[in-house]
Amino acid sequence: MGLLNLFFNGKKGQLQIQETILVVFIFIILIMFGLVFFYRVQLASINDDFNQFQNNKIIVDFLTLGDLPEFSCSKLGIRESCIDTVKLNSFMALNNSKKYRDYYFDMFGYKNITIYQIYPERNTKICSPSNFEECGVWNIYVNKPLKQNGAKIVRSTPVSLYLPDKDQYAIGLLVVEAYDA
Amino acid sequence: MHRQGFDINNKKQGQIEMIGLVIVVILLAIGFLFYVRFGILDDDGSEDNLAVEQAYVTNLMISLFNVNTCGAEPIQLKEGVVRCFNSESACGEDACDFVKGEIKAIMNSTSLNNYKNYSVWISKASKDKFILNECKTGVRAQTTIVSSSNDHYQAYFMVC
Repeated sequence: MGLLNLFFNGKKGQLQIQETILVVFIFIILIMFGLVFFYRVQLASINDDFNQFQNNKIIVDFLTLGDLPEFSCSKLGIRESCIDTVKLNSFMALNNSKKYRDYYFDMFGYKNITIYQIYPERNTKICSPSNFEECGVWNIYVNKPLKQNGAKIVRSTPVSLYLPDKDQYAIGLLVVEAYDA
Repeated sequence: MHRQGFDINNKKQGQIEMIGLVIVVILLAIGFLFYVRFGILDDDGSEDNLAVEQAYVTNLMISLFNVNTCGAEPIQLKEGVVRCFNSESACGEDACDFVKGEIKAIMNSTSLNNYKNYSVWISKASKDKFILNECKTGVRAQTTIVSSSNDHYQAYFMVC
């Protein structure tokens, strides 16, 4: 009878050990599941933050572009809210040299920045150093990555263009295409 | 014997209920985590859009006001807005009618049709004068116009 009790007690103990192992195993599985979930959420959150940062940088660049001294116009030393088209032509010529291209790459990154004249007339002639008087499309910064990873973000806004040779103002459309690289 | 069988059934039922409870708790926890991730932490970027829209409207207003108009004796549109406030004429007609017509014509010819309606008004010393009044609410931009006589006016432009 005593031997039988010992046998049944031993079996009960084994069952309890197995139960404990099972509980610990399930507990570890749950913790691992939680860790993987936490890791993925954190990764997604970091990616979101990075994208948000990129987006904010594009917006800030986009909003402040017209105020850059390289483009903005002034009259009698007083800065006005417009873009000087002669400065655009000079900038395009300057931007062809490697030194300045590197400098502006640090500032703009991978972007295409174009201004189209849309009023008083739509002028589709592309501006170049040899043709800067009767043109209406200024490709002021062109730097497209060789391999594009993400989506392209395009923003556009009207800008006031000052034509110093005619002493007149026109309306342009500033288009910024930003690439992920 | 009968009582022992009854106890085993009770224990088994209790275990099943506990497993059910654990599953429910786990499902609730997962649901809560998903809610936190996609419901609370998700940002729709509406503030950025507002900033971009505000900048767009401000740039549009400045571009419009700078435009030279009236071929024979060109004036800037902002000068026409000031003349409208002072009930003067511009380009041989009432300045308010002239500016209203020019704004409509420019908006149609540039195809910047993101917005259908516009309000333009000018204010000085708490006196407002509306040139266009098509929007009750919308995105508003404002600028200061300094006239040739060095008077300061606040011009407002609203789109909707």
